[in-house]
Amino acid sequence: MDYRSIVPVLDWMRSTAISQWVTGGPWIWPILETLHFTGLGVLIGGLIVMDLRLIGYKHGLSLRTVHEIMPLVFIGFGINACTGFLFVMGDPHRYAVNYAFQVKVVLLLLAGLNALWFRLKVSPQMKDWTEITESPVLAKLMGTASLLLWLGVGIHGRLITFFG
Amino acid sequence: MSTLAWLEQTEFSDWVLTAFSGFPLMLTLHALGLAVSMGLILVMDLRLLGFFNFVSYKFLQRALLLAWTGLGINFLSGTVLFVPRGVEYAGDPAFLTKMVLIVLGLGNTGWLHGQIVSESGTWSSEVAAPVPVRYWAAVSMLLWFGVITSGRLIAYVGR
Repeated sequence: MDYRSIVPVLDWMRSTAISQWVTGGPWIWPILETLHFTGLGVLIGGLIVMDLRLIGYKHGLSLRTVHEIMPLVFIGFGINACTGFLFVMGDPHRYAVNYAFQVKVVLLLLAGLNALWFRLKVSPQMKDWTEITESPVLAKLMGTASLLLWLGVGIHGRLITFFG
Repeated sequence: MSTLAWLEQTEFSDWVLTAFSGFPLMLTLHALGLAVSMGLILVMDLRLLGFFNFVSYKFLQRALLLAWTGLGINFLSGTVLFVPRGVEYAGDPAFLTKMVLIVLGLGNTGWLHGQIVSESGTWSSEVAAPVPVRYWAAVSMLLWFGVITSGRLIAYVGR
């Protein structure tokens, strides 16, 4: 896609009140970054525990873990979706051409599809599982993919700074 | 010349400042170590406060080993990041605040870890941990949030 074709969209994003607010004070951006790093910790902490149980790690983890720790993951994701949205609104031209950001978005979409697939395919079957049920191969693959995709999201998020 | 100023002029500092395996890689490791250690310590804190009773104290002990690994990664990557800018960081209030909070956080997490190892067998698995422990779990969240905040502000304060 030609970058120039989306410039009007980027210009419009930059002209919005939200965008002006994000860049309107010296401390807003740093505070949003702090929240973004905090959200990262919240999300990853819950995700590690959830995916470990999904993959089949049973030592001291109830099967309920997979579904019941999800709110923590969603809180972390929610914090980062909101702050991330504000970053993009605050500096749209920079993010649009940033290679690390583009990779991050693709990995986020893949992580989202993985989660959706889990929700549709594996999650409904889990009511028949017991504490000693061996995780099916598909569940193990999804849990592993989730950890790797979010690892990639974190890495590329941090690298945005180094690509212009 | 002070030790910190001398460190800034070493080849090691040159490498950190110029190579991709320097600042970019070390900052990335620092963020990943943050995610793993802060995330799992948060799970511990919330468990001690009475949430997530499907997570056993036995599991928490294992998760804490992973959390300490994350803290170790951040100690190493943080040291590498410090060397080329030691003079500046030594006078940066955000950095100094972070160091104080880290010492307090490590002491607190170490104590909570010890309590889980030695005492959790006598705790009910359904409710929050007994009183002093649960209070320190709440303090843990504040301390580590303070570490993240002051760490992020190093990029903005004092230069």
